[in-house]
Amino acid sequence: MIARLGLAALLLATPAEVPTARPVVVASKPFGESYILAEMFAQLLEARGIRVDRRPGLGATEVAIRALTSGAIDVYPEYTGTGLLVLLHETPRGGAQDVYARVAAEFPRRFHARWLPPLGFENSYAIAMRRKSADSLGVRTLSDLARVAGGLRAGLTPDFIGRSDGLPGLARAYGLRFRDVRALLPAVKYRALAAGEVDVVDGYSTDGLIERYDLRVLSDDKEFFPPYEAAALIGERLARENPAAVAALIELSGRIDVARMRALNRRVEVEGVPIPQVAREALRSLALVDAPTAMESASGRPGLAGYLVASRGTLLSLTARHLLLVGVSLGAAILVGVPLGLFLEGRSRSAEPVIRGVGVIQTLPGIALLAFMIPVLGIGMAPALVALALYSLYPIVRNTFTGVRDADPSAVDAARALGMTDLQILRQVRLPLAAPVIMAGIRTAAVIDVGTATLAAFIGAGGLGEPIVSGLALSDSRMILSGAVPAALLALAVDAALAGVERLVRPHRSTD
Amino acid sequence: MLSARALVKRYGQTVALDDLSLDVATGECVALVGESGSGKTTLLRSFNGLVRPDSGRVLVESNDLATTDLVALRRRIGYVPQDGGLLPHWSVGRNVELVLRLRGEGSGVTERGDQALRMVGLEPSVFRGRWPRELSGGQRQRVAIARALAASPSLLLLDEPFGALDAITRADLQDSFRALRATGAARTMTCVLVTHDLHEAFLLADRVAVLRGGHLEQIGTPAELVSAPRTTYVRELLARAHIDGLASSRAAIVPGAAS
Repeated sequence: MIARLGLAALLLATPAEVPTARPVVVASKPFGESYILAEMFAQLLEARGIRVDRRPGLGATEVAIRALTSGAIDVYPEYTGTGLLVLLHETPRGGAQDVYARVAAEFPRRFHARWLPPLGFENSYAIAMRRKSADSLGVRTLSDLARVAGGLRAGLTPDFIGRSDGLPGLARAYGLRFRDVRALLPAVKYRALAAGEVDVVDGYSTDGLIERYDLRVLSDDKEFFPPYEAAALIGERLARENPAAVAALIELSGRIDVARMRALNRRVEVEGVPIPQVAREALRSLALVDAPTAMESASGRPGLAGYLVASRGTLLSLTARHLLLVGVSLGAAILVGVPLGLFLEGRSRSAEPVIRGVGVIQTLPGIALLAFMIPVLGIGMAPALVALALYSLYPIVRNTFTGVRDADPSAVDAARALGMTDLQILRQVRLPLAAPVIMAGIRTAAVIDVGTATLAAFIGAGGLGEPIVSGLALSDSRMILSGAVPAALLALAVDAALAGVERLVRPHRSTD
Repeated sequence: MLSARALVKRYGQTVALDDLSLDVATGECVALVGESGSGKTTLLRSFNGLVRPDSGRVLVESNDLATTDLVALRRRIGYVPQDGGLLPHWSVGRNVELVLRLRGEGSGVTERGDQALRMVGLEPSVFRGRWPRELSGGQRQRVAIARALAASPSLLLLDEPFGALDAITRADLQDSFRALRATGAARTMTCVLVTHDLHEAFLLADRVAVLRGGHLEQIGTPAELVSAPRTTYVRELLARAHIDGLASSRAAIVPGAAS
C-alpha cells in the first residue's frame, strides 16, 4: 500500500518524465500573419499527435517574449529583425543570415529561447501610398517620398512611430519629414488612407490589405529596413522536453515563401476566410497533412447578424469568461478596497498619499499593467485577475474613505455622545450612511472593470476582448463588434444589477 | 455633581478654555452663555469626554473623566445637539430607544421609548414609525430630547438645543422644557445648557455662567447678574440683550423678543 502511494507520488512529482502529459502552448502576436502561422504550428503539431493549447493574440512583442521566457507559452512566430532590434536592442549589420546568426546565438542566454530555422520568407516593414497619388507624385522609392513628404500626412501605427527601426530611424536615413504624423491603429489605418484622410501608411510587405486597398509599396532603396525573416521561436523547456514537437515544427522551415504568405494573408484579410480553414488548406497544399475526406465549402463574408448567429456559442462562452474575470476581480477589489478605505479613514495623515498611490495605478494604461504582471504571474487568468482588481481598487477605496468620513457628522457625534463604541458607530451608523457612496464607487469600478477586461485577451485570459483583438488585427469590423457590443451590454447589465443592490442598502427606505 | 477644575484646551493657536473652573450642583440647571469662540461648547463637550482637556480635571459624580470608562459614562448622560443629531437611517422609535438598547435593557424598551415620546408631546403611535426626515425641525428636537431622557439620565447636556428653530417653535419648546423641569421627569436632573441667547438662559436656567475667551466672567442666578454684573462685559451683554433691572423678572421676558 505504502509502496503504491510512493509510486503515485513519484509519478505526480515528475511530470517532466511524461512529456506528452503537458500540451504544447502555441501563441501568436495580435496581427493576421502571426495568427495564421501560429494556427499552422498548432494544426501541424496536432497532426503529429501532440496535444496543443492555443493562446492567440498576445499583447505585443514584449508580452510574448516574457511569456516565452517564463515558460507560460512554448512557441510563437517571430521575426529575426524584431528580435535583434526590439529585444536585443542592436542595430543590424549584414544580411539576413548575419541577423539570424546573431539572434540564434543570443536568445538562449538572454531569453531562454531558441530560433528554429527560418520559415522561408521575409516580412519587412513597408511604406505604402494610394497607387493613384503615388503615380501623380511620381513616387516609387522612399527617396522619392522624402522629396515630397513635406506636403503629405502620414498615418502610422503607434508601434512604428516609437520603434528605432520605425519612423525615427527612417526619418534619419532618408531625411524624411511629413507635414503631419498621426498615430492610427492597424484596423483604421488603411481605411483612413483609402478615404484620403492620410497619404502614407506603414504596413508589412506580406500584408494582404495592400492589395485590397490598391496601394503601392515604396521600395527601400537605401536598405534601411533590416531583414525580418519569420521563424518559430520556441522556449527552452519545449526544446528539452518534447523533441517530437520541435521536429514537427521544423517541418515548416523553408517551406513558406513570400508569395505563399501573401496569398494566405489575402485569404484571411481580404476574403474573410476563417484562420483555421486557411491554415488547414496551407498545410495540405504543402503536403504536411493528409488531404481532406470531404470538400469544405468556401465560406463567404456573412454580415454582422449572420456572424453573431454563427459564433453565438463562442460568444456565450467568451461572455461567461468575461463575467468570471469581472466577478472575481471586482469581488477581490471590494474585499480589499472597503477595509482599506475604512482603515485609512482613521488615519488622516497617511490617507491621502495612500489613496493617491492607488489612483496612480488607475493612470497606467491597462495593457501596461497587464504586461507588468507577466514576469510574476505568467499569462492567462491569474495576472489578468490581479491587474483588473488593482484597476478597480481606486473608486472603491476613494468612495469608502469619503463616504465614511463625510457620513452625517452630527449623527455620528450624537451616536458617540450617547455611548456608542467606535465599532458600533462604524457598523451601525457610518457604514449604513456611507453605503450609497460606497455602492457608487463599486458601480464605477464595475463598469471600468468590464471595459478593461477586454484587454485581458492580450495576455491570454480570454473574454470578450478576444474577438476585439483579433478583429482589430484582421481589420474585421464584424469581429470587433461581436466582442464590443456584448461587452457594452454587459457593462450596462452589471451596472443595472448593482443599482438594484444599491436600492437594497440605501439607508432611507421610507416611502414618500 | 459636576465639576470642572482649571481646564485648559487649545486648538492650535486658539485657546478655547483658559484655566476655567466651574461646579454644578445636583439637580441644578446651569446655562453657559457667551459669544462664538467663548468656549461654551468646548466646556459642555468636556463634561462627557467628547473633548479631552490639555490640562485640568473634569469630575462627573466624583468620577475623574481621565480614568473613567467614557462609553459607560456617556450612556448615563443625556445629550441634545443643536440639530438633534438623529440617526437618519433609523426610525423615530429606534432613535429614542438607542440608549436603552446600548445599556442592554431588554424588557420594556418600547414602553419606555413611548413614554419618553409622550413626555415631549409626541403621540407614539403616530411618530414611532416615522423617519427623521419626515419631521419638522421642532419635532426633530423633541425626538432628540426624548432620546436623551428615555434612559432617565442623571445629567443632561444640551448644546444650543433650540438655536436652529424659528421663534414660535422655539418658544413652544422652551415652554415644554420648563414644564419638564418643573413637574416632569427632568425635575431631579442636573442639566447644562449651552446657548447664545441670554433670554433663553434666564428663562430655563437656575444659574447662568457667562464665558468669554475661554474663561468665566461671572456665574450667578439671573437676579444676581442683573443686580450686580461683576464686569463691564457682563453689563454690556445684558444691555445689548435689553435686559435691565426692570425687565429682569422671568415672566416679563418674551422669548426671542430681542432678536
